[in-house]
Amino acid sequence: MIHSEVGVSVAIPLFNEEESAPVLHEQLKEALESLGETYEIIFVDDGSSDSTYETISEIAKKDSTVRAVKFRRNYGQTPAMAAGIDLSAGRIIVTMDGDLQNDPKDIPNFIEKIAEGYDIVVGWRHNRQDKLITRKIPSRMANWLIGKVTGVPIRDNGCSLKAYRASLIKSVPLYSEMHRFIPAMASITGAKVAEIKVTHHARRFGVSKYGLSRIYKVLLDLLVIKTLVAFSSRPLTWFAILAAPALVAGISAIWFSLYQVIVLGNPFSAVIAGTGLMFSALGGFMIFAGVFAELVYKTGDMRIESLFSLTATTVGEYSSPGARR
Amino acid sequence: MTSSNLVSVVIPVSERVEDLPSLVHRYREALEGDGKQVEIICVLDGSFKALSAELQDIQKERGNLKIVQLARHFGEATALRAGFDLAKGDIVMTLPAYEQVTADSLPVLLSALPDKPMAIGVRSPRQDGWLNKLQARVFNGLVSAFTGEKFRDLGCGVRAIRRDVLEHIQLYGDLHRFLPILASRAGFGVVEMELQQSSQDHRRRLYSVGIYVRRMLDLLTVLFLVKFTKKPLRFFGLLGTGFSAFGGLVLSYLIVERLLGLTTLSERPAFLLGAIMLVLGIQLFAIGLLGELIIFTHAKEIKEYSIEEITN
Repeated sequence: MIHSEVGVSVAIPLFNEEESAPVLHEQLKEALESLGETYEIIFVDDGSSDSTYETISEIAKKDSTVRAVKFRRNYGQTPAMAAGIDLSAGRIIVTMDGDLQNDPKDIPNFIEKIAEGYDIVVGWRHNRQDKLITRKIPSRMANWLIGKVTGVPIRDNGCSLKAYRASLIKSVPLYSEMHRFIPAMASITGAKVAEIKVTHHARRFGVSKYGLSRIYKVLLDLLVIKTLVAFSSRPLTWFAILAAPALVAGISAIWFSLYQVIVLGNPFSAVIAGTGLMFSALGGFMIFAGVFAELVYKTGDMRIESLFSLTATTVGEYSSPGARR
Repeated sequence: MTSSNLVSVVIPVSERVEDLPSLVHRYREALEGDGKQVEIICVLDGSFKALSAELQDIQKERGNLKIVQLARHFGEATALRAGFDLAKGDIVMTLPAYEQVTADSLPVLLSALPDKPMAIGVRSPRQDGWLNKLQARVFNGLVSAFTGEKFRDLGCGVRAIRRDVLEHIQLYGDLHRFLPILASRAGFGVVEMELQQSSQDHRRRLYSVGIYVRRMLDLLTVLFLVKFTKKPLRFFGLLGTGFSAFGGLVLSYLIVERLLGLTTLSERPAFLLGAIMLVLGIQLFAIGLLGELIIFTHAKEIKEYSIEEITN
């Protein structure tokens, strides 16, 4: 199949969803046909152990708008999404879960928002159908924290149903478990982000694949995101900020111990002075780590400063001097 | 150009080479006896003048033997790579330069392909002394604990690999030992086949301390490669959290004691210990962040997945 001009691509990671896939396909067809745009559906089987791939490749053989992709093994949700996005040909890319908890009926609303000029539209599962203690409360805390740290206040980062302008999402690095942070990552480019309410269904088939244990990982990821989003093009600044408390603590401890000896005439305390030296050294280490980070950024090929072109627009009307009478 | 009935045999040559010329014959006989076309690629990893001459005689006599001379000793992984680059067969075998398993048992290994992407030999039954068995046990056990990949005999250099697998694997340093793990992580099934251990295999056994240290470092490398390549902060962060939590606890305990007036800090060297641990923990975090920055700035080269098939 050759896509000359595809309007909307829908990328869907599937992991052991042999029962959901056909239902999802039906629902998607219905929702996408109503768009009046060309579209494609990309199912990515993330190394399922059941017959998910057989199911979706059967669908793909009958329906030319569907592509079925099979991973060699289970890689996780972010790589599956990345593959879907990499293979997408559409101008707009929609991502969603394959477990029927997202409703394809919401997709037209997303497309509409993109048409209004937003670069990213994220879903907000306002009536979330999950367990309160293990899912909803941790997720609410996480979202609040993510919003605070990244400066992109989104109520529901975990919702997979999102729509992107293709040129933008294709240039945002997507690896590890970063899909949760795409809006924050994309904010590097100055993307305009909208949030709309989506319906959320309780799980129909299979079991939930996440648990409470992710909190620590999310915390670490947040530190990473902060580093990358705010400071990846000037890491020395960030490391200097991190070094400041250590330097303050270290230098004051050294002064304190000198003060004890010189002014008060107390015996010299190796413990206090040593601790002070230790923290001062940490401060020094952090600053040089920052210098090293500058080197890393310089030799890498992720050029933050060239990302502006993805979102920059010209404003007003320009007439060249030569054309003027 | 690749050929479907052709088996390329890559032999990295660096030590215990006395028997190689006759071994080349035996390998060839065994595989040709199994109805395969065979090309043998000997990669001389270092200077082996006499051996090279002997091999060239075989080359003249029988053909189908390539001899690659590396300009210095590069190590087994590089030697294998040099061999893989020249291999033309759809199936590539790696075989040691001394007889680890009897040549007769090689067809057993090949019978697993091409249905399976990779088959590796397991020397069975093992006839080594108890000390060597124990060493091997401990090493293989540690590897499977660290990586979650269970292999019984990683020290066995007898492997048969479908060609397409090699394109997905990066070999360097001492990683050749972990080839099955790398292949399995890249999404290819690896089967173990029990092969008859050769009587030539058990000779020297106790290694120098340096070797053991290197094995341990290899383990750390493979752990990092398998679990944390794309998320260095998870690795360093875990260590960093441990150290700084310990340091923090010591510090806060002493500070509380001081505030209660039970002690003065200047008399408590433990305070220094706490400070050192905390500092080390934070440094590990900083290194993890640097790692993340490196990954991020190279994100364009990272493709985390490997696609087996696309319909439509």
